[in-house]
Amino acid sequence: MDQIMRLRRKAVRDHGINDQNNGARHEQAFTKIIRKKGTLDERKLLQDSFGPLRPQGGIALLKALPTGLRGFARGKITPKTALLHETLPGIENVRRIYEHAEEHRTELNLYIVGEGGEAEDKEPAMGETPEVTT
Amino acid sequence: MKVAYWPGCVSRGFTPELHGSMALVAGRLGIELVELDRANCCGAGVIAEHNQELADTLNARTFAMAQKTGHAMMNICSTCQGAQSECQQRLDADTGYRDHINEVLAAEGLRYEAGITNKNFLWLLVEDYGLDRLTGLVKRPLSGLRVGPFYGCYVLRPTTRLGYQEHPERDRYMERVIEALGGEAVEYDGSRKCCGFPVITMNRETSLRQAGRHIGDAIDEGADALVTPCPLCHLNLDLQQPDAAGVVGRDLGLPVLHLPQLVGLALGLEPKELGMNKHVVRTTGVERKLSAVATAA
Repeated sequence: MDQIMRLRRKAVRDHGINDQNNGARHEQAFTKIIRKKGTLDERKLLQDSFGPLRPQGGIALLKALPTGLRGFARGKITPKTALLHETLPGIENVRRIYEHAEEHRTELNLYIVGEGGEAEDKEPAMGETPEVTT
Repeated sequence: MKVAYWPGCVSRGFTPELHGSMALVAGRLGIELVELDRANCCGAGVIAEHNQELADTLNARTFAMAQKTGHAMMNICSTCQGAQSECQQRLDADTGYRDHINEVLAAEGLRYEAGITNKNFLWLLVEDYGLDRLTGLVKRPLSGLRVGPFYGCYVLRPTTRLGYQEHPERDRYMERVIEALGGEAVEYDGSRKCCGFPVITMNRETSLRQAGRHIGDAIDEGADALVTPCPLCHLNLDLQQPDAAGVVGRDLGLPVLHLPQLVGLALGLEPKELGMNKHVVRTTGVERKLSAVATAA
């Protein structure tokens, strides 16, 4: 799974490959929301993952509407939770993490390093140097 | 018992009844929750797909906050467990990588030391709290209630990352908890499969078909309800259940409880206190069954 995610990172970031479904948009929307708010605003995630300005996105949102209405009807979702998502106190710390990580993009590939961890295995697996790349 | 408590985003968003019921149940169990109310989203694996360092640093921040409380960390979301365990595995594996992450956290006065204990409520209940102790607190045994466990992927796979070498029975804990509360655990095909939620925005029909099939399997085996330790699974199994029924072409109508709600019912809390009135699929069948047992006793 980690390797699939790594391939997705490379596909989207290095090669600009955009999924035909909502996969890449979902990832971008999720990442932006956490940068802005610190915690997940599910309503906005749904909206931005579909891309409401795209015709297909508008249709997908309409299809999801009954689900939202059911949530409202049962009190799971309130107008407040749907429209006003509070920003996490100390959000500036989250944003600082974003700035640093987006600049460095360091990766530790455990498939190469090995998964034993330092406690069990002080030496890098297979005699290799741990792969930390930026 | 005192824990650094990470409720996750969804339990405070679209499944508020989970956060509320956990607070009540913790009180009954004598577990003090030190809520990490300044912690950020775990990224749910999605941020790791965007930028591994970003996901690892965000979760190292949460771990460092938990370590500052001096207590082990507990979560109530399988997805948080899976995403955080993935980041922890990398953070614990390499000192140089961890130091790089800690340099960023230092600006906030935080530092992550390798080896945090971070457990889902389910694991904590069985491994630390103890099922005998739990049974001793039961006021309303779930006698006659047939409950299907629905684990969610992130507390099951990958086993090497999730501590299955030390705790090989973690994939049987739900059954043990149900039985400790006096209920009957129902075996059915879908209990350890994916609920479909991760692909709901990419392929709605496939997602709902998965959910619908699992619910149908449980109904066919005679379950009165499902119980899950994952709020994202709950969204697909409960909130989306009417649509899932349409996709699989059969009536469903099976109540789905959060794990703390099931525990709370057995501890004598009322369904409304536990937020069961917020569920899309009405839980009246479960309530009626428990009332009938109480009356007969």
